[in-house]
Amino acid sequence: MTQAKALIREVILLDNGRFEAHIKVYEVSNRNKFPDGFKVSCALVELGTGVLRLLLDNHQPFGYHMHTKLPEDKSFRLSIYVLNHQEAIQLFFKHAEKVFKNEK
Amino acid sequence: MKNKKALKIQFKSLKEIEKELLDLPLKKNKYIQPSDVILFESIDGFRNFLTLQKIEILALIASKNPSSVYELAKLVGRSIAPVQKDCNALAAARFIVFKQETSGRKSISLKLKFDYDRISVNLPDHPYELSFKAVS
Repeated sequence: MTQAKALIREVILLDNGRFEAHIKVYEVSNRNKFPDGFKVSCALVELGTGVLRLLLDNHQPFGYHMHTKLPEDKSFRLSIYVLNHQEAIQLFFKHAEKVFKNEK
Repeated sequence: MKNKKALKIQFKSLKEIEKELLDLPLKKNKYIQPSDVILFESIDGFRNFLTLQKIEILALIASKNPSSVYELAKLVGRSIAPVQKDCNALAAARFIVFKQETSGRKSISLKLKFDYDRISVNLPDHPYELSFKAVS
């Protein structure tokens, strides 16, 4: 099995440093688990506490989905219907903004 | 002369990240963040995060090398709780690290560590540096 190739690996501080988003995109060869050839992971983490608040990933059998009820309900998944990983990450940032607003 | 290390602050808006993503399949570029770079979404966000109190903490860690948050709080002349809170935020954002060290009596003390002598802020129009050398 060939190794996944990292295309994006970034951590960006958001909302005046109250949250950070970990964005990771890998090019992978395992098309059974990642049909579009990309493994995408975006996590919104509360700075200081380290609590995971929002998570986007795309493994099978769920495809692109977000965990929007974190940290209480880890098994809740919101399926999202997007054309590619760019759209999925855009949607992730829109949801992240909702989290910021709910915190204020 | 020994090379000094700078912690680099860079800014990338969500729009720029989205543009990177769109360019990705075309240019086959990689965006791997180096360990000495901290990314902020906006200049305002950076200013609100890195307050004068936090800059003072960084300067004192760089120059006085306090061995604990308690010692640091004494140096800045503030009570320990807000200093601890600021240190936690700085550590979570990777400005500083808490290093566990075993002393001679096998008790564990937390050691604050700041590996840089300056912070380089890459503002698009006005890049500047916060140097910690002048603090004695």
